[in-house]
Amino acid sequence: MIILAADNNDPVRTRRLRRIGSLSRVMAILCLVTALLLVAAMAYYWLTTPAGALLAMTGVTGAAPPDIGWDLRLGGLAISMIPLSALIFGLMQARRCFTEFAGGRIFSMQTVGGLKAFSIAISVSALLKPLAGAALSLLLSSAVVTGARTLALTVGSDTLLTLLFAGMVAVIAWVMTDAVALADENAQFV
Amino acid sequence: MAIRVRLNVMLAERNVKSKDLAEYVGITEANLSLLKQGKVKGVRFDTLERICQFLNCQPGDLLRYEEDAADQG
Repeated sequence: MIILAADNNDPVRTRRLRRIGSLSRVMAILCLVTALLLVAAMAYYWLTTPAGALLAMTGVTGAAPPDIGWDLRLGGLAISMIPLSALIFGLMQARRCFTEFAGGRIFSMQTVGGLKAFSIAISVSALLKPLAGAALSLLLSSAVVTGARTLALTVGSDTLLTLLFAGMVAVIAWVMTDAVALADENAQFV
Repeated sequence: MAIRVRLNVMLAERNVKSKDLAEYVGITEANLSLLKQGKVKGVRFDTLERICQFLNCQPGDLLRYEEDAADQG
């Protein structure tokens, strides 16, 4: 692990390290706040949204009932939490990376591991999202008055873009592995 | 290793303490100790320059090439 300390002889590098530290501290806080907000927003959505809007969101057609029961709402929340849990795990890994960066530990295997875990987590989340959507359509179609079951599988551009982003982060993590090796070697120069 | 570091010899010849040299060069005593033992991957030119300034010597006085037995075979 290499700790990048501010070098008084290089003011540009000192300023850059300070900026990296400051931005990383903000990003670490944002990751935590986003994770908490996502859970709260998901719970609020499933517990308060009218039945018609829930059915439309999952692609279920047919006459919407006046309301859907708590069992279906909690079931929907549980299913929705599956891809969200992977995303939150990814955000926590990103937070770990930013905490390391804020402490000046940029070239370390911990940050590489964090980046890899983040890319895997958001890939898993993106892949689980359409499956969760399909499961939700099956679950909520049981509430439709006509009794017809619906299975809606949706893959949007956001899923593809998320997978592309995850791939980019994975490549950056691999590049960082080489950077860590170079930094380790450089640390053995006096 | 074929390159031998003669820093210990130079320090002894000039009766200079490692601590004083480390302070002048701007490296830790631990790193200077590693350098004396030849346990570093390389020496930066500015480190070499400061050592030569302090010991009033040439880089060649600090480093010596010695052929290994394996290289000769």
